[in-house]
Amino acid sequence: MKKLTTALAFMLSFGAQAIEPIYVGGEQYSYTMSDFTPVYANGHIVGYDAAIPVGVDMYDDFIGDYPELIFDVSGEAVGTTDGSPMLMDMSVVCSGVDIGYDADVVINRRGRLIPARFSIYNRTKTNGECQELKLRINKTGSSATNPAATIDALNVNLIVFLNLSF
Amino acid sequence: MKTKLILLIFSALTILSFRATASTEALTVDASSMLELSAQELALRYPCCDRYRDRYCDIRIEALKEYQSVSPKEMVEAAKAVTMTSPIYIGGARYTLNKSSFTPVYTTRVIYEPCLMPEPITVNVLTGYEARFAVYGDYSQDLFFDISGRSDKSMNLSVSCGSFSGSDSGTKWVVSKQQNTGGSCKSMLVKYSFTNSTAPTAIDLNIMISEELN
Repeated sequence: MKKLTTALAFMLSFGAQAIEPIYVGGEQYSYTMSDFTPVYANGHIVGYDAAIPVGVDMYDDFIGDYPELIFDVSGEAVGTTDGSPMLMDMSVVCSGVDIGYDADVVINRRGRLIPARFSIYNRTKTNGECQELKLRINKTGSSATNPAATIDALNVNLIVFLNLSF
Repeated sequence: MKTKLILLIFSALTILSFRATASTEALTVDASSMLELSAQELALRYPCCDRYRDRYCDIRIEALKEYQSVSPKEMVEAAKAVTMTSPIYIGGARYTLNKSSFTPVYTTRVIYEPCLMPEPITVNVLTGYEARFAVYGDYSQDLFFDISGRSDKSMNLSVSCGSFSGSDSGTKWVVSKQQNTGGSCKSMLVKYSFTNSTAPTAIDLNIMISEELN
């Protein structure tokens, strides 16, 4: 009984606070404005697109299955806008499989334009389907038609992890 | 003795002949007419810069060299940056933290109310959250630190590990840095701080420490 309680206490002390890492492998991409192609609507730029080839979604003989993919996309968009904040969203789709969506605003706060920040993460097994990742950053809502709201700089970090902890 | 003498005479003759050719070259270039012509006219008239021919070598070539400040190597590097579609292969560890991973930080505040109470009251207020975890595998290689997360409350985030440190504020946090900590990253400290003491209902944070695999 004493042994059991000590074991239990040991387990509890770990379970509550320990932050366990997942060991991963994969590929990282960093993108700036020049890597994106602008998307036009009625002569105005409404967003930016990038198509990224993904090479890690392959059958793994060691696991005997397709690996679990962990998508981690974090990005920042610097923009200029008039009085109203610029509404923006980012969406990530990999070969038709929806990975994630996030939205933020570029807003003028105490005379400074705060950039919009995006973070998307998702864990999914796509069974070899994920071959091309489409990254899209759009102006949305009223900002889409506002020519004064412009995206000036983009910085996107994309990591496609393979979960190696099996 | 004889051969040495012959050699001496031969060398003297060659030196003289070289001087002679040099003087003829100098003669073919008319200095006075050159000054009268504009630089553009000179370039048109004398396009060749082969110094072994009896043609004038354009002085503007020096000016041209100034324009060629970008080396071919730099141009190739620039082209690579634009057309970069090849990924960097990475390996590393990914940590997922949520609210339960953090320990709340309380600060004692003293409130003085001299009119109502004779003694000041002390209150413990929530001022932030903290988490610390061990990091293995920093052998002073180049590391990528990618931290992103969100919460329903606007907070200041600061992350440090050895010589690496990063911070961001708001309800969303993005810290992305490539750094070589020189093997000093052994334990990572994640700290949230805020001024008004209401607690957030949720915190989600992903921390990725990865290395480049070549």
